[in-house]
Amino acid sequence: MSLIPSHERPDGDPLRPIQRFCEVVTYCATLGIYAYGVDGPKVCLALPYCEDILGDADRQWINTGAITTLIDSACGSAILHALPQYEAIATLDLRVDYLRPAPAGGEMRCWAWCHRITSNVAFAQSEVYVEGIDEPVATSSASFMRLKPQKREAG
Amino acid sequence: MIEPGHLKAEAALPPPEQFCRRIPHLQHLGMRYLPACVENHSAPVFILGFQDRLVGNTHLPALHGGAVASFMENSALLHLLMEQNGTSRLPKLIDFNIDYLRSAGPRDSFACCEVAKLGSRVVLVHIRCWQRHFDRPAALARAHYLWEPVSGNTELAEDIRP
Repeated sequence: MSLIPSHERPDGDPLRPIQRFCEVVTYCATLGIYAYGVDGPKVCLALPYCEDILGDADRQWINTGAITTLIDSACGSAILHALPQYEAIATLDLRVDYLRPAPAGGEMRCWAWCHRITSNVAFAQSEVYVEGIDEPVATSSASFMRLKPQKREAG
Repeated sequence: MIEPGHLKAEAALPPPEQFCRRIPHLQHLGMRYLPACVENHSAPVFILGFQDRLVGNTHLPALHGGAVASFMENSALLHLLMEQNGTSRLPKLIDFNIDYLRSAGPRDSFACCEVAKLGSRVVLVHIRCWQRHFDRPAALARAHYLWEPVSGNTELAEDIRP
């Protein structure tokens, strides 16, 4: 399961629903968030740098609010990616640890994965990287409600 | 006490120029605020006017959860800067926790903040975001900020130590 950037993938691949998600979620499109890739259970959304997301002009750091938006979107995508078919979900809560400042200029990439789905709730985690830095700038943990309750599955 | 029914969103001001210059993202969000003195509010009330481009779910429609979180984070930052008259460097966000209580519809959103703890290095801020009713918040959040005294001014850290 290797990462193939979206532009190199043929149609009908697992990335397509994530791309669709980024297109129909207006604020993702506003910021320029796009589907970067899929690697097994993990999905990656990317946010290219632009001055609109600059949060500290003196120190040239990206605004944490833009990072949170990328994370919320990526975690939601990871849940949709993990579910057998599309269904409506809503963020219940989200916690973000900002491990280090995100320097302006580089594209941000959020790798997110769903690690548990129950009949009502789904859980996701994520790590955010900025181009040029090996260590994550942020990590997160989120839970989502499945808006249409599911019948309890055996096991 | 904030009486949302008496909030006059049209009387809201853009954030002070010096903060907009330091935080370009504020202009992207289009945040405004009502100063603490207006209508006898005990704290500034921040306003995110509804804009189509901030929508997440277009069917409901509802604001993107990230837009709500970003609004609340930046409200906390502005609240701290206004309380400290913007003298120090921008506080650095350590972590952010948000609970989404109900979806934020296609209308203006409001936020107010309270400093729960002002330590020598860390500040804990509680943030409430609501739309029609203060008592029915769309989201509640808390944020820890690293409070960096102006370089060389270690007295500030001493002053605010509990």
